[in-house]
Amino acid sequence: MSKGVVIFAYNTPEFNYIEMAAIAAYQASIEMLLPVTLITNNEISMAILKNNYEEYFSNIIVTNTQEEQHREFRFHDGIIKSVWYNKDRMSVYDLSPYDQTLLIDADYFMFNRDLKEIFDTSVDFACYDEVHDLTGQGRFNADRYLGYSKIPMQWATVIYFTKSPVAKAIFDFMLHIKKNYEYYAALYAFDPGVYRNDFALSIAVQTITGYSKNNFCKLPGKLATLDSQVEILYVRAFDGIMYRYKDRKDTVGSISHTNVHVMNKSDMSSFKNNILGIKTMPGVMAGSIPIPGISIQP
Amino acid sequence: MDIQNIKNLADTAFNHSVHRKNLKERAESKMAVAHNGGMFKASMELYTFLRVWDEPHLYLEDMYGNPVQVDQKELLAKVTEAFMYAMNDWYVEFAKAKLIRKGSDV
Repeated sequence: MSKGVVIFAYNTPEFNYIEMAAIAAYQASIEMLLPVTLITNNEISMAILKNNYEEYFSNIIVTNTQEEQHREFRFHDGIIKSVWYNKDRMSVYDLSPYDQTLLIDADYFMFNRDLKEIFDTSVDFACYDEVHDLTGQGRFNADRYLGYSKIPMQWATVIYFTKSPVAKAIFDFMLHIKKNYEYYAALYAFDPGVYRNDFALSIAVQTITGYSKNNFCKLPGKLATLDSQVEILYVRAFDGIMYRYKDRKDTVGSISHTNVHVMNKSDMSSFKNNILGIKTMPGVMAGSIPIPGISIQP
Repeated sequence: MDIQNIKNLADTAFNHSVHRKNLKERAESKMAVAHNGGMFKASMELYTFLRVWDEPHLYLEDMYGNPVQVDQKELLAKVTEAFMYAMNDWYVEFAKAKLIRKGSDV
């Protein structure tokens, strides 16, 4: 059974998703000791990839995705309006070259190998059903349920699946929901303004598991997340992230050896050298190499 | 990080209760153990049960509510390792956090 990680990254004029994906891929390949496949789309992405980041991926798949949408990204230092390509996530079932796949967002950074355990189970499909806000401010409390229908939210940031009928059914149903998004938005009572994979996944999982709650396998733990308005102060390879956020006053936090969904896309790129600058020998675990000043998970 | 940033950092706070919650979540996510197709939480209860139930093969309910045939020795070894590592790591980080008084100590 082949195992691997898949990342989607479609560059936009505002954000270098390829660069983020390279950081995510490097961390994932070192921590999980698995190959990483990149799925990307256009010539601009390919040019950036070939010039700088090709070495971080063991496999590159080019699609002809054109389905774009526009949204506002709110960061601690302002708002950026950007094009957003996220509508073909369900194609991962057919595109993934692996029998067992861990699909991660380009802004999901792995600082431990906890998720490796799921590859040794007989589970066919798993994702997170809870977010852990690392600032403790409950920024995602409103996202615990989908719309007014109150079905539990499932998060498409990290999805584990095998080539199996269950996984295929979920992805096929997500495609159906995407094509009929306004209908499902009306049925489940949520805003159809911007297509979200989380919404499509939540409906698909809830329906396919018998219209019931918690009748599916979730990934162990919670999806540790830093909201887009949290400022990233420092990132250390194989260790963790230091961040600043507004509480009653400016507050600093840090988390180490924890996989983190960093929604502040603009800040993360500025620390690329902290991660991509560290080279290890192929096939050697980062944890076995002493790097001065960096604490490594044993 | 430039001087202005360092000065700003010195003025920041550190929220101990949030940090403790984060460490607890981190420890719990490290307690997941896969065995024979099932997923188990390396909890004190499972650890104790496996220590006292001296049968080479037994059937246990995993995290997903499925019965799994387990090899007692093999699972005990995995659970012990995961439990001890997660708790030790939690304790060390918890102790480190006690020394933090403000944002610049992080």
